Amino acid sequence: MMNGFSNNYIISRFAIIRKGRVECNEGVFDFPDEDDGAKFLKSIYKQLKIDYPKFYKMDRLCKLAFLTADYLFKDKNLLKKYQPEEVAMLFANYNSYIDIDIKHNTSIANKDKYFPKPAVFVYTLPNIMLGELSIRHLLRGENVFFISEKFDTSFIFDYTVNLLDTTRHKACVIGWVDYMEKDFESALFFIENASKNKQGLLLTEENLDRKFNTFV
Amino acid sequence: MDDLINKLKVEIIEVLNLEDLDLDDIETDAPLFNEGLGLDSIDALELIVLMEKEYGIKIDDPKKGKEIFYSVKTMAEFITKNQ
Repeated sequence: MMNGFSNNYIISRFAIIRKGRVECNEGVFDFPDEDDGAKFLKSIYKQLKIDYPKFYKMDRLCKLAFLTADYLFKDKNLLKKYQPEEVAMLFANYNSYIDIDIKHNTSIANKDKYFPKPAVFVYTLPNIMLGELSIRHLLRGENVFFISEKFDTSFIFDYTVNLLDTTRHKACVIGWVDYMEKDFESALFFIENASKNKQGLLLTEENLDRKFNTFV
Repeated sequence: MDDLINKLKVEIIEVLNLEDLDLDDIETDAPLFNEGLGLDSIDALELIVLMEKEYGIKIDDPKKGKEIFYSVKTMAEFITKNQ
């Protein structure tokens, strides 16, 4: 089974945000005029017509993950098949939370005006991003976040299959969400047993890699 | 009052790190907490500090916080009365 191939699981849904473009099961959506990351994310938020005031309090990494997840879960029936405890999250990125760490560090650099802002420093751990997704979509399974040089399909594949084969979890959200200054990208995949969904792409290392690199 | 309201909106965006919000995104009469901007208790602390640092107003009675920080408009009215 751990040979990059599994007959049991499929990638039933995906959502990728990268370079002014969103791609998901429903199609491709371009935002060509938005080269600024913050404005781009706000445009997506408005287009999705989401009413979630807390969105504006999130840091940009959280916003990116939040919006990508809203595309991933556009199919409202997807999660109804599972108990909240049965859906795990396996995330990774390269820059961790350094983008917001730098911002926090800058905000406390002046010793005469030293006042750490809770609104900034609460968002200095990747786990916060997973927490936001858990709250929004009621995902209560195990979650784990790795720092990795790249989207390591081999490692992610092995970890996911092992998780689904050996624990109570019946589905898993795989995620790569990275944000550093003006560079950002996000890719989420919903993995579930093939018997639970007739539509999807067989979970293999190759398919995961191909999907991730859809429009690099 | 309009100038004070706009100044408050700028300060709220700054202290609460709502950097992607525009002034027009904050409705003057809308509730700041829960619904509206969705602020929470940590934000309340920041707003209390803002009142003290920027306007020299100390809020001694925490129970009054709900009324004072209900909206940008109620904040502006309280500052105008107490400065």
